[in-house]
Amino acid sequence: MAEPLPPGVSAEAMAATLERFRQIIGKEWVFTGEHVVSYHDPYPISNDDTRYRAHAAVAPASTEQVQEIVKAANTSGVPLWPVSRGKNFAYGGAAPVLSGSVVLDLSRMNRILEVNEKFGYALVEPGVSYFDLYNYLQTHGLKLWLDVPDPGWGSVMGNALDHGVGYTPYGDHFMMQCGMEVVLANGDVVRTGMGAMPGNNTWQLFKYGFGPYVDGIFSQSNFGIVTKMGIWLMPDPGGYRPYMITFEREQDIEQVIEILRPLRLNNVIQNAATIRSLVLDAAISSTRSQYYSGTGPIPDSVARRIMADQEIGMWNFCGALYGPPPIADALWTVIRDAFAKVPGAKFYFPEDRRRRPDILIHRAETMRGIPKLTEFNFLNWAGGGGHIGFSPVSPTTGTDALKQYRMVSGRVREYGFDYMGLLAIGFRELHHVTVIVYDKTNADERQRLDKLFKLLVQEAAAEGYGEYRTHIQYMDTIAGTYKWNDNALMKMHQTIKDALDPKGILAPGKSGIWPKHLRDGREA
Amino acid sequence: MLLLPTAVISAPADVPGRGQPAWDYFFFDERFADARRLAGDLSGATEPTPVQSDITRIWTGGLGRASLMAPLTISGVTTESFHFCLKVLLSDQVRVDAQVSRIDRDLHLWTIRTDNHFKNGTVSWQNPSRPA
Repeated sequence: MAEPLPPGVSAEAMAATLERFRQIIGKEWVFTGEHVVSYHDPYPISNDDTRYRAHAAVAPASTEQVQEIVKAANTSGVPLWPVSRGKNFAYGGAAPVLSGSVVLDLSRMNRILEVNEKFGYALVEPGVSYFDLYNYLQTHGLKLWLDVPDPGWGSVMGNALDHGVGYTPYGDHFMMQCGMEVVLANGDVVRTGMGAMPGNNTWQLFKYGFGPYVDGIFSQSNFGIVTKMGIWLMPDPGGYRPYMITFEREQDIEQVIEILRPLRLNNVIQNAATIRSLVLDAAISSTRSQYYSGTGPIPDSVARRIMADQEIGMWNFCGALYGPPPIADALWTVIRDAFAKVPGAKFYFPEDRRRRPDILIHRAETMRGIPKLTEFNFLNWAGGGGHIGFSPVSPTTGTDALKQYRMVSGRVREYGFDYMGLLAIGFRELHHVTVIVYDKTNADERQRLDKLFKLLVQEAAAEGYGEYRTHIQYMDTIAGTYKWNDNALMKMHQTIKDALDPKGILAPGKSGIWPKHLRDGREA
Repeated sequence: MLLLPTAVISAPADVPGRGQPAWDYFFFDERFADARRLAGDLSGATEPTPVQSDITRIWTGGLGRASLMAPLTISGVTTESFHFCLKVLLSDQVRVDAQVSRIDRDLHLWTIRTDNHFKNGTVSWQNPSRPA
């Protein structure tokens, strides 16, 4: 299939623009034809294979080259889809919302510009992965810990910009970013916060600088291309003790969350801990066929067998204690006594776990900031390897957690999938991340998933739950649920878009934000 | 554990075949009887490596570095995620030709061949040419 052209761009104009890109960065860094395949979505949902297809990709090596590419795109109107490393799998990978876009692959910009042990931060380019930064810290013997999301191959910058989370006390990645360099759509470069002051030495120490704090508008957005970002790193805490508490019954989640909220707000639970469902944890070390050969969701009897076999619960709370032993001992006493009130709760440290591979052993590394790819194991649960995340946010209350669980798991099972979910514990909210694993080779299953996903979004929105992040196919859908006061927020986004990127060349459709000339039929 | 190629080949094999000692690595998912059996049938002179889906330790333990030193021909009977992750990791740093067929709900039979052309694009953290 010929690669598609974006709306309003002729084949000749595209060819001329790509030729200009070759002049800027060298012909070996402009990819067309079969070399574009690696920029496709690895987990497509749509059965229309003309959607979400890049026309080409370009891979600059410097901020200056990004500036020149942006200027050329502005001249011709060719839309660019910036990606840091393109590993945002389950959210579309490197694929663009608008077919025909040219992927701006920033993975060659992979320098770790500075790591400061004294103040605990790094300044990185977009192509730096968690593996990269972890390796750097280890190689240089620095007493700093990384916070990693589940896949270690992703971009440190890209994950933060997409509001990704990890599992240490520094788990809210965008909260931990400090200072950016951004290329705007007209080719100008700005530095945010203290970076705007020539000769300043606190760019990565103080977020806000002077005047409006603008960093947030470059996250999950299409207002600029971030080419450098500061990220705070946690000092070695001087001690680490991961633990797991298992709970036997589905309805326990209500009591567990009520116990958990004050502990998290008071920092007794120090990290961005998770409560994970039975099947999600079972799928790390086994596949469905090892327990059940029937169709539809696994029956309760099978769930009980998995629990016994793997020594896990219907819910499994993985957390960790950070600090010298006296601190960890004191915190553990409070945590243990609090959760012991839940009938049937079981408490584990890694040395208690005999099974290999084991969920706590695995999560202990992740909560320690060690980048891994182990979490991809869950893709094998039902075969077929596709997955998508449905991630509504709710308050940290037992009532909301149980309601969320029942709403989502009921629909997921109704549509023939097993419920695989986790509650990521923020200070005051829960990310209820439900992973729907599907057979990406099965067109019927993809269609069923699409119907299910739209229904989940609709039903969640009706109850006031909004998604924090989504796959490229559902960006308009999710954006449409943030519609208070006649879509006032989207209208503001569009005003900013039109001011900063009047020709609409940066990531059209990202987060539902479209440039003026592509808004027809999509008006906020 | 440091993994090193067990064989160096002059030409890549086309597909996995009985008695063809063409693999630098052969991985099998030890949890599945069919994978154990096929590993015995197809690994040839290569000592098959047991895995359980997760590529992390194998990659960071030496395979990532080995793939930068010489072209590799790798085969396996594993779950999909093992093959998928390996293919993506290799594709970040070298050119890759992959063939895969699904043999049942859980298992895939696959071959990945790399060449010695570093991929245009990402330079991996294992790449010794990366600037400090």
